Amino acid sequence: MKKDTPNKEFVFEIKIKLREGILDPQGNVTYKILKKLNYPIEQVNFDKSIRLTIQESDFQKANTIAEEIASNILVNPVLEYYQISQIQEE
Amino acid sequence: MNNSVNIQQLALNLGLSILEYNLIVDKLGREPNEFETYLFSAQWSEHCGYKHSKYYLKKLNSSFESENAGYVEIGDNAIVFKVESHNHPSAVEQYQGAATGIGGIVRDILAMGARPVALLNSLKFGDLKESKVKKIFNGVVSGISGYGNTIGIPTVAGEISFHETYNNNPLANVMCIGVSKKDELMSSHADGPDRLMAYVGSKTGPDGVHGASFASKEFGKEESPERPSVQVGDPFAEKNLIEASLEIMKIKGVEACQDMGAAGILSSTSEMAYKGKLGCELYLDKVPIRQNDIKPWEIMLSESQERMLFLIEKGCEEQIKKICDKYMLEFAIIGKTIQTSLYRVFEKEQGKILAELDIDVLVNAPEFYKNNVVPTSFYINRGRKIPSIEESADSILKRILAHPTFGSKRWVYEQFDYQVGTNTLIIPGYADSSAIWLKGTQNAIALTIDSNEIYTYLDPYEGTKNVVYEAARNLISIGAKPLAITDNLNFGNPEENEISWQFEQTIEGLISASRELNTPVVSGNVSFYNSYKDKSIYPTPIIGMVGEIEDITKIINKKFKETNDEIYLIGKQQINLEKIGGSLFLYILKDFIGGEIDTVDPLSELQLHKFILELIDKRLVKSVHDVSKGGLLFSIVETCICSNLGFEGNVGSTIEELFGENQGMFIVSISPTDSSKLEEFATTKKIEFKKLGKVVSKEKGIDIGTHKFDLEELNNIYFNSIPNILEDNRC
Amino acid sequence: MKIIKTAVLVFPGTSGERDAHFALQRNNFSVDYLWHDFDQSLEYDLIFLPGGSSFGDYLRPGAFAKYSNVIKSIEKYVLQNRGLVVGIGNGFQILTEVGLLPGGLALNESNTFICKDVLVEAINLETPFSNSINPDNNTFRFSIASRYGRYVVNNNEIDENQIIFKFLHNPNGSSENIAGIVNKDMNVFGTMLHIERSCHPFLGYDEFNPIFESIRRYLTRE
Repeated sequence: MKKDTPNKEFVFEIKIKLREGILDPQGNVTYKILKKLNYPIEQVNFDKSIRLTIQESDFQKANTIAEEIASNILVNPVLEYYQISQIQEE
Repeated sequence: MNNSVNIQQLALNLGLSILEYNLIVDKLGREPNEFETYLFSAQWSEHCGYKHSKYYLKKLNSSFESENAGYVEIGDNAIVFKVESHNHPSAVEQYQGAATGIGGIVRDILAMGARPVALLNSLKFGDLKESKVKKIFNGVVSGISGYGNTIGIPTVAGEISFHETYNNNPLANVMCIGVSKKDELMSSHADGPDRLMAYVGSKTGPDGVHGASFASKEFGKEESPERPSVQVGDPFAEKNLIEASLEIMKIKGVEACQDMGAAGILSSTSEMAYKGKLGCELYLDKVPIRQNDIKPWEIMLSESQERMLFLIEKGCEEQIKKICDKYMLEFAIIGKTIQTSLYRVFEKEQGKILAELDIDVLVNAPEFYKNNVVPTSFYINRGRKIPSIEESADSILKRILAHPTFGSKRWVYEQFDYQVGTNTLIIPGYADSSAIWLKGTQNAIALTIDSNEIYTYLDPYEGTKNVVYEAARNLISIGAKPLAITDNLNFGNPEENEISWQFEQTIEGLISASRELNTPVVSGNVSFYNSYKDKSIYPTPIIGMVGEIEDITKIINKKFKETNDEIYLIGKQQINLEKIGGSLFLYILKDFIGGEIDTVDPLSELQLHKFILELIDKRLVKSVHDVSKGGLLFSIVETCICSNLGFEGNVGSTIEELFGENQGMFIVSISPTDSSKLEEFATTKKIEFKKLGKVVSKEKGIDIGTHKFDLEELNNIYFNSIPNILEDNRC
Repeated sequence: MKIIKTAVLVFPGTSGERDAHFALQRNNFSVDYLWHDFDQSLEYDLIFLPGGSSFGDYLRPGAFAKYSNVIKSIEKYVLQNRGLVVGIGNGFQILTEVGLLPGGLALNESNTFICKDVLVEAINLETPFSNSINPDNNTFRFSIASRYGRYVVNNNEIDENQIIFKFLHNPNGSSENIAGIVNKDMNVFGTMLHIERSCHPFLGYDEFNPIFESIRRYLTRE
C-alpha cells in the first residue's frame, strides 16, 4: 500500500533507569572503585540508553510508537522506569 | 497515637488473621504497638512461621527447626546440603527471582561453615508454546546462569518439566551442596548471653518490603504504589561474602552463624537467640543502610540480599572488620544476646525502645492442623479408564521427543558453568546423576534432584514414595550408595482441604520411603500458596538426594559403549498394564491424567538396588540406566541418542508396553563375554532379568522387531526440541 | 626437575584459582596465590591469571581489575621479560583491558553464557606456549565457559604469527576463529580456553597438557 506523504525519520532516546529502592550492583561497585582512586564521587548510577530510529509520516505517530515500544517491550516495569526524548539529527 | 482499632486493622492489612491477632494480644497480655505488629506480620507469615506445615514436618524430621541445613558424613568430611524454592519471586521478576533463589540457598550452606561446591535445580514451567511461559523460562534460566556462574559454583545437574499446571505458577527449586570438615561445622544457635551480633555483607535497603500498610512509602512519580520493591541479586557481593564468611568462621570466638533470608534481620536475630534459649537486643542505628529514608520496620523486615549474621565473643571485632574490608563488605555490631527471653529493638543503643516482646511468643507462630479426608477427586482420577492410543509407535516417539519435558536440555545446561572447581566427574546429559570429586580421596559425592508431579497428583502418598525411590535409583545407576534426602514441598493453598490432604499424604510417603531406604530427611523447605485464581498447582514434592561413591574409578554412566554389547532389563520384567496411570505419554498424546500409578515394592527394590551396586562394583556392566519417565522404549532411545549407537532387539509390541511407566526397572549393557556371568549372578541373587537385545552401529538405527526408527531423525528432533519451540513466534 | 615457580593471581570475584592450582601442581609447577593488592616485585617464572568474574564482571569483564596494585607489577615484569604470563578466561579479559594483549572480549553472538567442549587447532608451534606440540597431532579438545568470549580485534592490531589457537567450529563469533593469542614479544598468552580444566583423566580430559608442557620446555631450556 503506497503512502501519500513520504515517511520521515524520527530518532528517540529511551533512557531506562532503576526504580527508587532497587539495588544497583554495578553502580555500587563502580562507586567503591572510584572512591578508592580518590575521586570526589557521591553516587554512581547505571542507566541504559536505547536509540530508536522510527519511520513515520509525522512526529505524533512516531512518538506514540516510541512510547509503546518503550513501555511494552524495552522496560521491565517491576524494576525500571523510562524517559523518552526526541534527538535532533545532525 | 495507637488506638486499638488501628492496630487490629494494620495487622489484618499485613496478612495476619483475626485469630492470629487475638492470639498475639492474649499471649502478650496487651496489644502490640505498630512496630511490633510489623514484626509479627513477618515472623508469623507462612514463609517464616511454617504455620500450616510445622505439625507434619515435625513427624518427618525431629530437628527440622534446628539448623540451616542438614548434613551427612563421608570420611572426615561433612557434606551439607539443602533444597529451597523461590517460586513467587520468579513469577514476578524471573531473572532476579531465580538469581536471588541461588543466593539464598548458597548462604544457607555457607552458614553451616561449608564451602558450597555444587548447585542443582528443578524447574517447572507451563506450556512452553505460550509466549508468557517462554519469557518466564528464559528469565529463570538466565538468572540461574548469571548468578550461579558469577559466584563460581558449578551447576552440575537438574531436571525441567513443562505442564500446564504451572502456567501461572512456575517453580524454581535450587539445591546446594557444600563440604566442610566435620569438626568445622558451624551452629546457628546462640550459645550464651553478652555475645555480640555481627552484621556482615551488603547494606540494607527496602528490598522485598511491601507497601500494604497505613504508613505507606513516599513514591516518586515514576513509582506505582502496588509495586513491591523487588530484591536484586549482587553475585559479586555474594562471592565476597562466601570467601569472607569462610575466613571469619575460622576465627576463635565466632560462635554461630545465620543467613539473613526471609524477614532478614528480624528472623535471623530472633531465631538465633531463641534457639539458644536466650533473648537479644538490637540497635537499629548500627545497621548499615543504603538510603537514609528507610523506616525502622523496613530495616527489620528488609530482604536485602547478601547479608549474614554472626554471633561472636567480644574481642573478635577487629579481626572480622579486617576481613570485611578486604572483601569490600559492610561490618557492624548491631546487637547482643541477653539472658532474659525478651526480644528488644532500640532506635539506638541508649535510645527509644521500639519493641519489647517475649521471644517465644514472637518466634512461635501458631500451628495449624486439619483432620484430612480423602477427596473424591482421588477416586475419580484413579477410576478413569486409560484411553487407547491409535497412533503408531513411530509417531508417538517423535511427539514425545519433540516435547520439551523429554527433549534435550542442552539449550539450558550449556548456559551453566558445570565444570568450575574441576570436581565435576559426570557432565550433564550422560548419566542419571552427577558426581563431585572429593579431591585428595578416591571418594565422590553423588547428587540428584527428582520429582513427578503427575504421580504425586494422582496419589500423593505412593507418588511421593515413587519419587524418592527414583532418586535412589538415579544414584545407584552411577554406582553410588544413597545416604540422605532434602525435600522441597511445593503446594497450593493449604487452607483448602484437598491441598491439606495432599500435603499430609506426601509427608507420610516421604517418611515411609526414607525409612525403607535408610535415607533420613536432613533438611528441607515448604512453599505454599502456589495457586492462581483459586486453582492450585499439582502437589510437587521435589527430592534432592545425596549418595556416596567409594571408588571414583568405578563410576559408571548410561552410555552404551560398543557394538555387540548386550542389553539386559533387570528388575520388573513385565509392565503391569493396569498400573500405567500417570504415564507421560498419555498426557502428551491425549491430555489424559488418571488411572492407577504403579507403586514400589520396598523389599524387591532394596534387593534390586543392592544387586545393581554389586554389578557396578564388580565392573561387570558397562552402562546402567534407570527406566522412568517415558517408559522402556524411551529409555532405550534416549540412551542410543546420547551414545551415538543403535539398538537391535525386543522391547515389547503394544504401545502400552513401549511407553507405559512402571517402577523398579534398570537397563544395563554388558560385554557379550560377560553376559553369562551376569545371568548366573542374577539367578543366585534371585533377581529377574531378561536380555532385550544388543548394541549396533548408529547407521542401523533402532530396531525393536515390530518397529524400526532412524537414529539421525530422532537425534534431530531430540536436540531441537526446546530451540524449535523457542524460535517459534519470536520477534 | 627444575621447580617452576608460579604465582596465581586472585582478585575479588576470581573463582578459578583453585582449578589453576590443581592443574599447575599436577604438572609439577610450584604455586603461590597472590592477592590483587600485591605491590612488590614478582619473583616468579610464570604468572597465571585464572578464570572467574573479577569485580563481578561489572562495567565490563576485567575493567576494574585494571586498577589493582598487582597489575603495575605485572606490567614491569612483562616489560623486563622476566618470565611468562598466562591469562585464562577472565584472566584473558583482564590482559586485554590492561593492554598487554591486543583486542577485546565481547558478548557471545548467542547473547548467552556458553559452557561446552570445543576442538581447536594449534597454528603457531613456535612460541613458549606451543613448542611441545607435534605438527601431526595439533588438534585438541578444551572447554570454554564464558559469556563474554567473542574475541574482537582489528587486523592492524595483531600479526598472523600471534595467533596460537583457532577454533575448528567457531562457538561464539570470535574474529577469524581466534581461540588463543600471544603478544608481539611472545611472553604473554591469552585464551578463553579453560586449559587448566584439562589436567586429569577423571575429569574427562587427557593427562598431557600441551601448554604446560611447552611452558616447562621453554623455561628449562639451555
